Amino acid sequence: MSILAFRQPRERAVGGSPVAATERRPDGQGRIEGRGLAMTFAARSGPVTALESLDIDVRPGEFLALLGPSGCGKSTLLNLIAGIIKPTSGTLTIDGAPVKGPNPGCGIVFQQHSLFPWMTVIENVAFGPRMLGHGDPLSTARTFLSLVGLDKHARAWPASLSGGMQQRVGIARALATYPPVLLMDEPFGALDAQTRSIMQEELLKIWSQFHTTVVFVTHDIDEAIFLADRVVVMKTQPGGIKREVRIDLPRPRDAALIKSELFNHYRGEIFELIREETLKVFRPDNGH
Amino acid sequence: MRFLPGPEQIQKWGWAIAGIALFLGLWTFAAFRMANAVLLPEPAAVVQGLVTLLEDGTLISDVAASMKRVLGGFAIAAVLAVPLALLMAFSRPVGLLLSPIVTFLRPIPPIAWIPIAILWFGIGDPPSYFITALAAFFPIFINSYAGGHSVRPEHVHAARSLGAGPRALFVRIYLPSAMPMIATGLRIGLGQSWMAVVTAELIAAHSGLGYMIQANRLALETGLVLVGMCVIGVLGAVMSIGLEVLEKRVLVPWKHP
Repeated sequence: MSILAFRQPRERAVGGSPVAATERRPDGQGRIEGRGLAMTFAARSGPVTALESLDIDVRPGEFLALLGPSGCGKSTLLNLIAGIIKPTSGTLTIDGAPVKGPNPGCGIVFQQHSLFPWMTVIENVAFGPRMLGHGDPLSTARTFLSLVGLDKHARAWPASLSGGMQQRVGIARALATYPPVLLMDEPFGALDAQTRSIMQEELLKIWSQFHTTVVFVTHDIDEAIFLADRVVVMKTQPGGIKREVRIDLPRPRDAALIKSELFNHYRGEIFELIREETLKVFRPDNGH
Repeated sequence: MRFLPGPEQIQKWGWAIAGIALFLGLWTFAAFRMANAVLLPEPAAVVQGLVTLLEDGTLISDVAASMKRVLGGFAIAAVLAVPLALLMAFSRPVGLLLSPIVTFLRPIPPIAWIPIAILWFGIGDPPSYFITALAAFFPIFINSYAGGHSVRPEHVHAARSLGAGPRALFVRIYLPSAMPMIATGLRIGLGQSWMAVVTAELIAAHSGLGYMIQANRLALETGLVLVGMCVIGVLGAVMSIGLEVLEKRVLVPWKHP
């Protein structure tokens, strides 16, 4: 069944979201399809099921947030899509090609910045274009650095930048190869609230220029609603998808949106969903 | 800018000079109380000995002989130890195959190798190169091996997601990740090599600073023995500082912005 699923023509409408994301990316690239994904880790106390038979579809150009309490397998799912780990069973394809390992089709921004400390800021951003043999990697790097407002720090070592600046360089580096998919694993989790809010707005601004498919992992409800077209709320024990919530907030979005009534409505709805899951961890017997 | 000493710099140097003055003062006092130039000559007598040895040129040739052996042995050790350590760190079978050998050979001090070095290589330069290389090898090896294991998985994942192949991964990710530890190993290795050359020359050579202090001991020229010791100390410190500068400017500049 799963094999048939990804043999379907790409134009096929997938999943429940009616957001017209496909029009955002005319080349139609950046489609993620996962069928029957399961992930079991070996632990000392026995096997731990991080994910159990999960189906996921992300449309080209869609901004998807994975939201849930710790232990819901949201980072596991992201690592599967990135090819960093392999599923115990199930299939996963990006634009029809099975994911075999980290590859240039999929940019990654980690929770802690993963800039190469031995390269200057501009060399970090130029790394991808250089590896892929793109013409003039340094001028590409300069373009993306000014996009995140850090062109003045091109010659600096990453260690001399603040946490927020490091993450901005990380985003510039991940985008510099023009990947159809961008995976972000709680990229703003280590930042203070002020910086975080500004970074979210900046990310949306940049995203609106490229319409890369984004899968964004977070445990912050406001962050998920503010950024995403669709919020996938994950469940625990075992990990999987609990419910998907479509976010029909107008774009472009700015920070004032957080005070709107619709935003509040989403917040309340998602809060309840997550609360149920979090309680399950505290009272395992009432779980399911 | 960097060469103009600030108040903090001046204070640091002040304390350093005071420390040396205190040391020389205590030495002079002890020599005066002991009043035996064979057991402990005064600093002034050592300076006089230094001038004599500089004038007749023997000190320069001894220093040259020792330096040649240290740098030669150190270079051999570095060329062998760094690639071998990285190979062991990155290839599991090679690591499993060679690590028992390393674990067994490492605790044998260089001095214990001197008899066999003489048997194999005779007296002179070859056994000294062998001993200095051996002394430098293990610190460089152990640190490079640890460096080979210190690569962060996120860096590898990020590099692969940016299109790096196996070759680029090694040259641009694994090697720089290991470089801080390699640099530390080189610094310790050079120090060990310098200590080992003196030991080797005490026994297995007819030139160099180790031989020179041994010969002067037999002649009861204690002042000249101390000249040799002081030169050993000063040159060791200079080499260590030199390598530190190389480390900060060339090998791992990102750790010292």
